[in-house]
Amino acid sequence: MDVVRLLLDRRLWGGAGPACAVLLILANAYIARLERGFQEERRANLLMMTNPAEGSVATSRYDWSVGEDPGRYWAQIPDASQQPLVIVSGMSQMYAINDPQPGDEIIAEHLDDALSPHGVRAFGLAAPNMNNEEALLYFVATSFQAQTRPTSFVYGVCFDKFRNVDLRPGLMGLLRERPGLRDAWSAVCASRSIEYPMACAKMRTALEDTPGNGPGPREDDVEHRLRARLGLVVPMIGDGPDLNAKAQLDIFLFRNWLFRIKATSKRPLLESVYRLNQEFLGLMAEVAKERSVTLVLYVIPLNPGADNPYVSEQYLAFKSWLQGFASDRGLPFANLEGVVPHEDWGLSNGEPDFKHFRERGHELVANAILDRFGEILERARPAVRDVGADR
Amino acid sequence: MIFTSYTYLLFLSAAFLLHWSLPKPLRNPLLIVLSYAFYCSWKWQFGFLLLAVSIFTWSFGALLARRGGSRGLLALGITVELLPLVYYKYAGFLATNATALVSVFGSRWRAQVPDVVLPLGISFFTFQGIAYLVDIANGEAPIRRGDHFLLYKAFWPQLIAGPIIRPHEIREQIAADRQIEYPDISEGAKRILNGFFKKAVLADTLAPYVDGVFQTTARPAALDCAVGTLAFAMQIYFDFGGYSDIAIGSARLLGFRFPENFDYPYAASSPQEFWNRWHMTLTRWIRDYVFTPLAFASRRKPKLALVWLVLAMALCGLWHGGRWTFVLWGIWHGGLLLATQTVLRKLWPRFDEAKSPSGPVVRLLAWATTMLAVCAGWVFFRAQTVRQAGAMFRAMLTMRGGLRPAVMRENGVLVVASFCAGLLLFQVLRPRLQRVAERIAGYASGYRMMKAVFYAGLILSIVVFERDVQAFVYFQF
Repeated sequence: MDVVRLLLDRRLWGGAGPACAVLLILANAYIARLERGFQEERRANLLMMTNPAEGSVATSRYDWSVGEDPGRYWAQIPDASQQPLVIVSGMSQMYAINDPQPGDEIIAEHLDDALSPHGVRAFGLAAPNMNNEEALLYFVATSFQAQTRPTSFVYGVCFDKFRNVDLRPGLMGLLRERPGLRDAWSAVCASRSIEYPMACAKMRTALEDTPGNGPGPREDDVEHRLRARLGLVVPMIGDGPDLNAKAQLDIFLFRNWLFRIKATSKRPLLESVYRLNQEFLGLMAEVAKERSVTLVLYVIPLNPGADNPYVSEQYLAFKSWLQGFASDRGLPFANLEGVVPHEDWGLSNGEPDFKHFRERGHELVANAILDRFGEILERARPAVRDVGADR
Repeated sequence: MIFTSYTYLLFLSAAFLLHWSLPKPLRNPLLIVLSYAFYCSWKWQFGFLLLAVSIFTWSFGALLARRGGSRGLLALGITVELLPLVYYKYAGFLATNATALVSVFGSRWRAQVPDVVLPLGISFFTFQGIAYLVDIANGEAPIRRGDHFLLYKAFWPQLIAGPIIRPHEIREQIAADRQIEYPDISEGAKRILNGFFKKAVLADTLAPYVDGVFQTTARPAALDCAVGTLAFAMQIYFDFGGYSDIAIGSARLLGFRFPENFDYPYAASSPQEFWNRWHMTLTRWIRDYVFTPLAFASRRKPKLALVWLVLAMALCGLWHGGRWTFVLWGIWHGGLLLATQTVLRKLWPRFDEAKSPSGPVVRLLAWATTMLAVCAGWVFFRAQTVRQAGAMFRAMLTMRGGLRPAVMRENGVLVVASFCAGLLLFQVLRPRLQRVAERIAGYASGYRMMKAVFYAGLILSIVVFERDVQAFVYFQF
């Protein structure tokens, strides 16, 4: 047989192949030893959340996967058909706690604590670097059906997130797996394409990029199962995402070193992406009106004692635009920029963190939200018609 | 089943072991079954289309041979070959344009745009079928055995996106008692590894930057357009080059040798040289089955050949899909080839006349202008609409936004610039690197170890940097 003849060929065993295989085995052994380090790095990363134990998913009051697997936490959203619901959404500031201590609570949890006695529940849906397209997806995903439709959707608007677009894989998964959400998403972009051409075209692209789960097994299911199985026995594959994150971080740090970039180096806005994000916010306001949900906007707090990467004229123009936007559409709005004093912020890479505060900051922001919007958040909403039914 | 997936690696490994373990008479049938399994893993219904087209081409080829290559019969055969392609790929394009055309005359008639899924590889297996019929009409013997023909048509490494194999290149390999030797394994594995790296690490890293700039929603500045176009130039090269490497490597593991599809196209110093290095099997298909017959038919009017050149390239563009942007891309390249032979002959010396222009400055100028022209063509190719392409050219020509991006983050610009620098450096250093490799090849054990470290590094980088299984760009064609 040819296979046997080939196996007996001395050139096969004397070539680079076997040496390469030995090197890969050694690399795998080394990576297996790094596994614990990866876990610790994840824990130390402010922007990532370590998943709670399986049992505590049921008691979570926000999406612990922070956008990686929101479907897992969807069932934990308090039933909005039973009591008024407040969704609290935004970027990493909404959940990241500098110098965390056991028992610390984030903004959404503080709000839930304060609102529960009034018969209102709050739930957090945030993700690192969340942009307005993603916020719109969360908004549509929660508001299109009765069980998750909030009375208020509190959105902490962050200037530098206007530099981002695209849905992250976790949110694309949400769009892929929920036909009702797909329909609602599709309906929004179909009905508003004249006023919001760029955002609606982008929404259509998102739909095309995430074809819905048709009947029968999908090819990538086989691939994903295979990868998962291989990952159990080959550390290089199983730890691929962690290795990738580490490599990306090293490249990022190398870039910073090479170009002397700091966290506070000025990052000017990207005109086209900025306009797109403005349109997405406009769409949120439209959907809110249509679904009788109160969209509450606020400018997120920044560390008054730290420099930030914003070009000041652009940041001022942004705040002024956002205030005008909220006023034109009659949306509750507040600028919470200065509500957290300098001492309640932590450090990032040895320098004052301009965007992530300690637990006290979460409490102060929650209080500020209650101060400004408490009456609105406690209000019930008139019943509206359901668009879809999947949950 | 995407080539750069673990599923494909498993499939290929099983195919390799089965193929070389089975008795020789069973190997071709096995490859046919596996090829159809591969094709049907995407959408099983289209397996019947492939089978029907194969049976038609084979039986019609036999008929054509019996009738001595009748031109009328050939025309009929080509028409039938083109029918599925026209239906699945161009029906929407034709309907949209027919509607637009009649609306010019005030009619409100609207042609129905059929909502069909494009069968994978249809452009490739249609061209393969046409080549087969034309070759028979020109006197080549048809493939007698049906199983050999089925394998020629369906053999999976070339089925979805080429290389476009012509009958004479593979018929003997199908009929022969194929042997596998160590160099086949070594070369095949090396090509597959190269292909994985090009696709999963290089092309897929560039893809998000390209998508961002070329999204219809974007309003890119000049810098975005320039960097996005450069990124696409590299993305499509690494993507399709990677695909071709995996196709050639997979075939080699099964004892077949496929023609090359790419030969460092971005080292070309003229558009003509570019087309001798880019998608080489398509270039020669267009040359042999479109341009040459037209030029031969009008051989008494040699100047007409220049018109046929542009027409052939426009058809080459249209082959990529029913969009005017592709046609414009083809016409653009036809125009460049025309200029190479006429007004810009001195800037771009003909490939077969002089391999290198007189001096390094002239050569550098020829190379730089060629790259500029090729990249300008990529704007047409990648843009969703002619309007978008126009807007991008306008942004670049008016330097919209100065040196500040409006879509791409600064990181994206840096990544693309690093890729460009890397590719450029590799192209410049390639001859020297080859010489160094040849020199150290004499130190057997050291060389072996160096290769092992290099391949292990490639595998590790593929595993670390690949995101998820991403479809190849050329699958849409």
